[in-house]
Amino acid sequence: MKRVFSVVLLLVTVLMLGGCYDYSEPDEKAWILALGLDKGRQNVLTVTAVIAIPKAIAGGGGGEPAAGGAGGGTFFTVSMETPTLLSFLELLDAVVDRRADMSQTKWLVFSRELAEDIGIGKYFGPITRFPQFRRSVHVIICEGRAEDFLEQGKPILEDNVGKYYELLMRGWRYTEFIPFDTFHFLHLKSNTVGVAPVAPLAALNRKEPVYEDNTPKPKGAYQAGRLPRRGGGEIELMGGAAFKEGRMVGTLDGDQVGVQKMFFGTLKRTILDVPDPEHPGFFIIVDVTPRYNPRVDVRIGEDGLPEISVEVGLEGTIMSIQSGEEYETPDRLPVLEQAVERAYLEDINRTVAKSQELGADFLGLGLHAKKLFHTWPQWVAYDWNAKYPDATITVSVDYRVRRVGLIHETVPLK
Amino acid sequence: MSHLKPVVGVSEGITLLFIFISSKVFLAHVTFILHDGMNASWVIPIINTLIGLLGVLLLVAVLNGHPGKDLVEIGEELAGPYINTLFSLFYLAVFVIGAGFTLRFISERVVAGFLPDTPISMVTLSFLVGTVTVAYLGLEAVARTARFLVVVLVVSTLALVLLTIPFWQGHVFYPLLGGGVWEVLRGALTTTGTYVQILLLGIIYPFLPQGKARLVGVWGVLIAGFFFTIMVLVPILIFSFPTVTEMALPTFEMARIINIGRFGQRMEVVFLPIWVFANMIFMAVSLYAGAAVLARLFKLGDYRPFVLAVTVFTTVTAFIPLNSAQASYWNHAYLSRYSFYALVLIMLALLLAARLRGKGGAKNEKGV
Amino acid sequence: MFSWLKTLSKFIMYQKPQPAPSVFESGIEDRPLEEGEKAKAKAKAGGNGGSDTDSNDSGQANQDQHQLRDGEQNSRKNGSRKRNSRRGKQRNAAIQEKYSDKVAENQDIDQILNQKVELSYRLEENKQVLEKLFRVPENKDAVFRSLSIGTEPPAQAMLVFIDGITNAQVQNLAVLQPLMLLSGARDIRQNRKGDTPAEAGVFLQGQECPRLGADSGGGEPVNKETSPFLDFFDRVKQAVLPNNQVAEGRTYDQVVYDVLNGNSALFIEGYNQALLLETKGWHFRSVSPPQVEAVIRGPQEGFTEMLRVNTTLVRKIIHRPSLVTEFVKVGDAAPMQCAVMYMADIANPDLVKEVKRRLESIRADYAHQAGLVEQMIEDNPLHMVPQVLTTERPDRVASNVLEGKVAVLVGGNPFVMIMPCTFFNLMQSPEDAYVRWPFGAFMRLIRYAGLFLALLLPAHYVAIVAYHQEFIPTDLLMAITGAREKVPFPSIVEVLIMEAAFELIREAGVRIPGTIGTTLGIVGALILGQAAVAANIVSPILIIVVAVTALGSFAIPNYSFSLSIRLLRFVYILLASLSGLLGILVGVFIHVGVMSTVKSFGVPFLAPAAPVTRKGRDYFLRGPVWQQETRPDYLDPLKTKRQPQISRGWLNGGDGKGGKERL
Repeated sequence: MKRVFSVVLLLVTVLMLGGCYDYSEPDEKAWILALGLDKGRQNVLTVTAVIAIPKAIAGGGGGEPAAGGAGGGTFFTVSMETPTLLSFLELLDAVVDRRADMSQTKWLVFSRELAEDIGIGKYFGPITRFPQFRRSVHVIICEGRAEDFLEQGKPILEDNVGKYYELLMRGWRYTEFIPFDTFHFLHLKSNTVGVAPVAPLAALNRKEPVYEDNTPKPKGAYQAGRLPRRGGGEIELMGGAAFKEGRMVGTLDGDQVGVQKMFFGTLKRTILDVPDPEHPGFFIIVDVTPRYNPRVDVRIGEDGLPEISVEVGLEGTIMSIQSGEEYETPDRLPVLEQAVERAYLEDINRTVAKSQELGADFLGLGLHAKKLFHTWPQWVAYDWNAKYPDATITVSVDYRVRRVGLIHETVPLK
Repeated sequence: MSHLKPVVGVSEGITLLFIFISSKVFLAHVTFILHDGMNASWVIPIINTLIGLLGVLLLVAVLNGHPGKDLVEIGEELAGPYINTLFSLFYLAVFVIGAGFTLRFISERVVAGFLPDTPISMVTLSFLVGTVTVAYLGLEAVARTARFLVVVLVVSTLALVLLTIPFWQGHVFYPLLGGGVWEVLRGALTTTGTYVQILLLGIIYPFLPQGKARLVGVWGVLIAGFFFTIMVLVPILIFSFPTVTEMALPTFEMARIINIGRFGQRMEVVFLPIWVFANMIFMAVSLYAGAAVLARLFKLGDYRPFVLAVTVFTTVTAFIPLNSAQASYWNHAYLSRYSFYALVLIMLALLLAARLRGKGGAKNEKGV
Repeated sequence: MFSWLKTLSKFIMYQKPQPAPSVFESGIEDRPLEEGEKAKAKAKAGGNGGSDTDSNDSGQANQDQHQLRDGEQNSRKNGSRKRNSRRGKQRNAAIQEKYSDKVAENQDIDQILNQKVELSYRLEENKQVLEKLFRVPENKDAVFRSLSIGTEPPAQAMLVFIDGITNAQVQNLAVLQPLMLLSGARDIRQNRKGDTPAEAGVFLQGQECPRLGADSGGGEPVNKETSPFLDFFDRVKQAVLPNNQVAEGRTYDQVVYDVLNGNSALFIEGYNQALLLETKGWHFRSVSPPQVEAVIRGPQEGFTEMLRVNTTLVRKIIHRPSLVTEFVKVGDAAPMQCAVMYMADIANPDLVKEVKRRLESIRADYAHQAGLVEQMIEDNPLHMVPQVLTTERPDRVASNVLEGKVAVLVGGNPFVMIMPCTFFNLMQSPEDAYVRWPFGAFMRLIRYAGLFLALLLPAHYVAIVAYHQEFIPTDLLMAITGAREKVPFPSIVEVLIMEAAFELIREAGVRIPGTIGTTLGIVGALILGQAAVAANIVSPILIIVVAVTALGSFAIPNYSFSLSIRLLRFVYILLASLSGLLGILVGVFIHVGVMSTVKSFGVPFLAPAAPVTRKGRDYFLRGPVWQQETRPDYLDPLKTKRQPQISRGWLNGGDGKGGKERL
């Protein structure tokens, strides 16, 4: 018994000495919450890391409450000129005392310049291969330089900048303006023939005016960097960046992103401002939710080009009728429904035109075309990407009002 | 430990067999199938399972002719000691090569995914300590450990599958035929080695309840087939065809993308038991079975002296490949491709010998 | 003149040791004997041959008893016993030499008992032997009460008992009074009827009438035709003593053990027999609520220290003639009564045989408590898990005995052992069955969660905080990291400190006198929790981890199982600190592998999960009680069916007498 015990003890000691290679305390690591990539000034890349300051977030040791305030001081950024993304990780240890760790990274921010000129495709490699990155990270395209974007993008409501990033991106659930594609989908869509990815577009608040007059503009016509506003946090997230073969080819405004999301079932609901068909200058505001995923029917025409017909089904609630016109009665509802259909059809057509113009099938119509082929080689041989811009696409929209809100019949102002 | 002969119940037998066959779905095995069958790869495991069923029925036919004896002893009786030595070396190779490459690969994976700074020898050592201990305790210990832990395995695996449902995409099935009918069929026929592990049934046969070998074999293969199909299908559903082929460890990537709100992310650690337990059971079984083959071959009553010997073989095999990629390629090339046909040939030879000898007047105890 | 200085310096620097005078000093074998003593010892060594033969004898006897065992075990056991006895002899040699006269005297006395010397006809001789046996006059417990039986003429008699463990009331009213005052009543009537006045006279001079004892039957019958009694002794037994249990003793051995058990022995001049009268009356705790296994619904009585009361408590629940209570004497130096209870028509006879075989084979000095007997009879003493289920609830014993298990009740201990026992038994509480089944199942789930937390939570904390930080949600990670900034220790040291502190609190809490118990809570909660965090010794989240771990371990219903979990927890913490979750998983794998080889009285510890046997709805979760139709398969009971398919007869309508099949 004693002998057994001493052997066990010896073994434990040996293991203790030999083991623990990966033992590291969380306070011995620098937690990178976001990475930014820019075209370099003195090297290929300028990589920026957002590193959290946990003691400021947790409120320090002695159990005092968080420092509060405007989230300032809960993170700092380090920008360095490096040849590649991963060499930055090691360079960072020359600057930051703690070992840099990217396993908590939320955002991967590419500057628009980099995404357009060099493309982000070659950075997919490290993200899929290097275990600290994961496919659930969000890829963001920012206007301007990513280093400024990350440095100035301070949270107001949160102490933890990681939470700020996550909650900002979470907007995809309740607005149509933020595309859903995480790196996982971005990567898949880039690899798959017949679909193209859309990444969220972000920018810092633009201080100077964007538009010169106050003519009516649909709310979805904005996109990040062109959002007339005052106040709020520095970061704005709206619209998308369309990619083709790993390179950014164009931007989508808010409404176009909404249409793109509807084709992938990630559009939960949106609010639509429809011009009143009978009272110019007035708006009807309706709530729109998809009734079913768009029905796409693809045929290959005699010229070998695809002929696509899309049927979009929507439903929703009347939220407001500015003119006070009684559209709520069952016999008058079709008037309103047709107005909504017209308005939405315009959005869809705009989006389809944009995608054909860019040559990037970000609506995923090719995924439906795939069904026409029996084997993979046949499908690849068809070369969808080349044929898509010349495809004939017809769209029909069907909107039904299901609820009219709390008002039964409007009494016009007298 | 009892002085009585160990007994492996039907349930433990099935568990042991199906884990032994299907634990490799958690390794790179799936990736090779995906390369063969493109987006229709999920058909391959189904075809393989049918072939595996035929194989297991053949094996049971050989075994049932000689109740109370395992495959090595039957070979001894039917084919004579010299030819049987060759056969036994084949069995041994299946166990040792399988365990060795598995050990290497899972260790490499743990190092790559979880413990990047730990030397691989430490990881290998900890796997070996666990499996050797349990293998040394005997077949009962191995079977019962497997039976006890299979709950963890199955629940985690199903959770892994179910939690990825939000990522499933319906379009991945198209084009329906993948690379084409012949490509898929060729893929299936060249990966039948998946089921070479039914060999285990031949080793544990004497310890199974009388007349239950067919039940154990058939169910073991069917359940393994179910998990094969799921674990080939679900990565395709999630990652779609071209992307899925670039992954070394599809199950690991599945665990990594699970995202249930802000709290439930980066969950691969939660699913670590799947990889560790499945492969440790696989290795414990291999070590025991290898030792049992050696014991029978040398006509010793006890397998125990050979456990350490087989462990040494296994460890040496594990470190023959120069890198993890080679380990997975070799495992595929040597075990997962054609080894099943070799096993079938041996079975047929034994059946033929039994038929010839049976006519020669020896005892004929055919019948289930 | 500096002599005082010298004295002082001497006082400070050197003092002659002045040990407290004590006759007894341990370690006699290490010190050379004084000259005179040596000679004395040598002289005595000659007459000291008994010890060797005695120990050999016992070894021989042991071997005989163990013949049933299979060869391997036997040889191993024998080997170890030999080694032990050799070591023991070496150690005791010096002491035995020094006290050789005492040793010889003890051996002589033991001879009387061991060789089963028969009683003498002479009262005086009996008394002398018994005084020697009971070490009178040093021993004041043994009482020798002389009396004369009030017949005509009176007979000399003696009552022997141990003071304090007998019931004085019973002795006075049911033994002494009839003997001294009322013994004539029936006698006269008999005489009148039989008209044989000589009868009384014959056995009054027993000493002169050795013929009475010549045949061991107890004397010549006198007037067989007329008297229903064989002789006077028989008459005293049959007609005079209104005592509910009377037995006859023929050897000193018999008499001594009965007297030690609280009975009184009545010796009558002229008879080589003693009447052993039931006068047990020692003080014992009355039946009170169980101390350890409390339930909310269900009977609130627990076992006591009285063996007989305990068997009654079980029998009170099971009204079946097939409930058998067998008594086995366990132990060597001071044998102790153990009751083996089982259902003769349900329990597997081999199981009963095995339990009895193990109990009977115990040769131990002090195996008087359930915990000691348990260690003597368990299958694998080196394994961490308890292999015997200990309970202090009669209802639990009853339900287990009805399942086909065997209960061993140890005299003087309120804990009853039930065997065999499986992992799932250890996690059950009788309460599960007494509440409605969904809640019973829920309570079990909670308990398994508690088991998991108690065993693995601190280890997982270490593994995740030190190895797998990516798993921690960012907000939590920031909180943990921020809180740790000023903590000087690594997480593993923190965990070990807190776990050790907690174990300390728990151990102290058990040993602490009740009156100052409340202070412990304050010390534990305040000092260790609040202050450790405030002083930046540990991070606050760790306090939560330790607290939840503690709660988990308190949820484990079996105390000895909980002990093993407490210990294994530290192993897992170390494994986690070695290689994170991988270490834990490898540990679990080995743990399960080792557990699956454990057997409790031939039943695998993990049954019915591994190996799988047919199971009822009561092993992991608790199913509805009306669905529990079979007894556990792994017990191989004689009757597998517990209740018919339809146990709620009223469902069928009619008179509600259940199904046709009867048990």
